[in-house]
Amino acid sequence: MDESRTAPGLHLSQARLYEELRPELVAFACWLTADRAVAEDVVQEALLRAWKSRDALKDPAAVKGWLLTIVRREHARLYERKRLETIDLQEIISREDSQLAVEGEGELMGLRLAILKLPDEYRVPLLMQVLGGFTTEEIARELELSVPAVLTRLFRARNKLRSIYGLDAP
Amino acid sequence: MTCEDARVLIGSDPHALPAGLAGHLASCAACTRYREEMLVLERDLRRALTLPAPVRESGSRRPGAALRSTRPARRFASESRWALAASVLLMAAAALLLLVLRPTDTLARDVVQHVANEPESWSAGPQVPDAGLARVLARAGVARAHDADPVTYAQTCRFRGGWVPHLVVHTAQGPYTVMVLRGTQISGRRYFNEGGYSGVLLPAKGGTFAVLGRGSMNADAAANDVTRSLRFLP
Repeated sequence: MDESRTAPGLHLSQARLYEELRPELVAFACWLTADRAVAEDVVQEALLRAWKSRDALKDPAAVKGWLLTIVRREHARLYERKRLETIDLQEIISREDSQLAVEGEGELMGLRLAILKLPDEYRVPLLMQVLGGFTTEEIARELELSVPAVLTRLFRARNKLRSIYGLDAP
Repeated sequence: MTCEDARVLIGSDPHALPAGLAGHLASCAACTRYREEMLVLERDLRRALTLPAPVRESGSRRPGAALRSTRPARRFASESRWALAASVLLMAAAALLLLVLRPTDTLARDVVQHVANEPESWSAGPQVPDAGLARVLARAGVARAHDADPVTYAQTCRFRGGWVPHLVVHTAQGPYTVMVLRGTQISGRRYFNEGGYSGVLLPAKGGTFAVLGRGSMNADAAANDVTRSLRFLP
């Protein structure tokens, strides 16, 4: 096979794939950061990193998980470099009140805000599991935790949502 | 397995049912109820996460990217006044639009919206076991006649800040949905037809029953069925 002719084609299709996945990556980053501008920045940085190390991805079918992992790491890196300012949830709530009337999803507003209120240690594994489709073992490996610790964090995340959401205490 | 172990497993993934957990649930009603609640939460959690995150839409807050204005202050003030005026006009226009386009019945609209978000509820699955149905109804303080048509979907759903039973009843004429709105009072029977659904809001002693079907359905027949078979307990 003539590699000099194939490689650009492969790269083109990979770039297209990144672009197709971009909205999902931004959605994931938004749930991590609660700020669209920061989320866009995080995804931009993550895609650059992914592009630079594109040869490291051995299984093309795993590209989504791979990119989500890079987004998650880029977000963590951002926090390590400098502390981001605290997001004012009240500001979001005020904005949501008007927006949700249009979207007709008012009943989920409380839950959406409760997700953002979760501490990172609970929210990140929960998002990885529910949005990213990561298994407990994969989350443990990525977050450098034991599997029981991940199980506990997922349990606590849902339990906190459960109590915020108004279900009775167990 | 202890209840504590079981709840960690349920809370870490409500859909998973490893053998040890299944065995525990078979003999523990409290953990079974906990799992049912977690499954309801999980369904809503997944719905919530498919919606955009309620994020701040301000400019970049990237560390180091401090917001600075390079414009003269007077120009900024002038622009602010124009922006304020434009905002007021926009708000007035939006209010007018809302007034013109407001749904005829917001309760019916919310019910339709909720049902539209759970299309899987209409699947003609197996009949909900009596115990499961009784549990959903008991939480809302509702009694149902034993000879009523079979229920194929019974969940406790988040609706307007509370938890309400959401049932799908299968009849010879087709399925219909009932949402049991305890404490919601309306003055009289209200028919609605919107978003591809039609139905009726039925006032009852203790609350309201929202009865609806897909497309055009015989709302009165379903309403009679509901009136005969469901009642709010004191």
